[in-house]
Amino acid sequence: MFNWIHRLGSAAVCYRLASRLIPWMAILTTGLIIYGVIGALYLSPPDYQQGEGFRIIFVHVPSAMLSLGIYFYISVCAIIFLVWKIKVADALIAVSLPLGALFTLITLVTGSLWGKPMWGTYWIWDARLTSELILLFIYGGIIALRNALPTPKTAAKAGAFLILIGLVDLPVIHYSVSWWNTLHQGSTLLKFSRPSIAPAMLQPLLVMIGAFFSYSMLYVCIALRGELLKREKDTHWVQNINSLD
Amino acid sequence: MFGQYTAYIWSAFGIALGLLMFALIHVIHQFSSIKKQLKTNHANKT
Repeated sequence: MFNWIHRLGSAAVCYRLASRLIPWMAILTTGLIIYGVIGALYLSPPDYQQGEGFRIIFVHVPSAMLSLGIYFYISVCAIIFLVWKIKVADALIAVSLPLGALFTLITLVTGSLWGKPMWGTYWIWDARLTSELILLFIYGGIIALRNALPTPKTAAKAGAFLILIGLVDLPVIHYSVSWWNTLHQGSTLLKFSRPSIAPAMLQPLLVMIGAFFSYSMLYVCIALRGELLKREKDTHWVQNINSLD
Repeated sequence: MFGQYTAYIWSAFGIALGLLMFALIHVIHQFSSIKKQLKTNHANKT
């Protein structure tokens, strides 16, 4: 088991693993997105309070979960990089940062489009919305810091430290609806009791969450391959590029 | 189709899925460029 994990620290092994995963992830993502969108727009019944307007939940919640999930996973990568100096962990951070920022942006935009018909405004300085906006700034800050520093090693180290500092925003986002009196509704899925959503709506929501998750895996696999080729261009396995798939 | 919410729903789905597809195409293009460049460098060396 540990031997297998240790092998993942090798760029060549990671490259081959990502290459093998890509076709499966592409098929899974396509299938789940098609099924999820049909379920979200046509199969799911309208909400008794929000009517048809609630359907934005099917893109808003998965992207919000991914915006936090990706940050948590890059924090784990940052710890791995700082403690064990595994370069693949830094490559994963580099390719995942724009994806996390993209999901945060999608969360804010779709949330605004949902807020206008439900709350009467696109934006309000509510604790949940503001803490999510701060997450977007944190993603942007880390990307900017990594690009601003002259040497890749310093940039990686400083970026990893900033990721760990920014980790404090994650519980604030998640518990903001419980800690403060917010306009944003409370948790629907991630809570200790049963999810407070009808099964007919829950099923397409879970499919869309799965679709966004497999999309992220697909994106990271493709981007990681490019990043590894760029970083390892002088090594033997990349020199042998013609034999790569 | 969705009454008064039609524009909001299509905008949300369009923006979300559109941005995701754009990001995917961008990253595929980036990978192809890197691979092409490496192959060219390799061909020039040999």
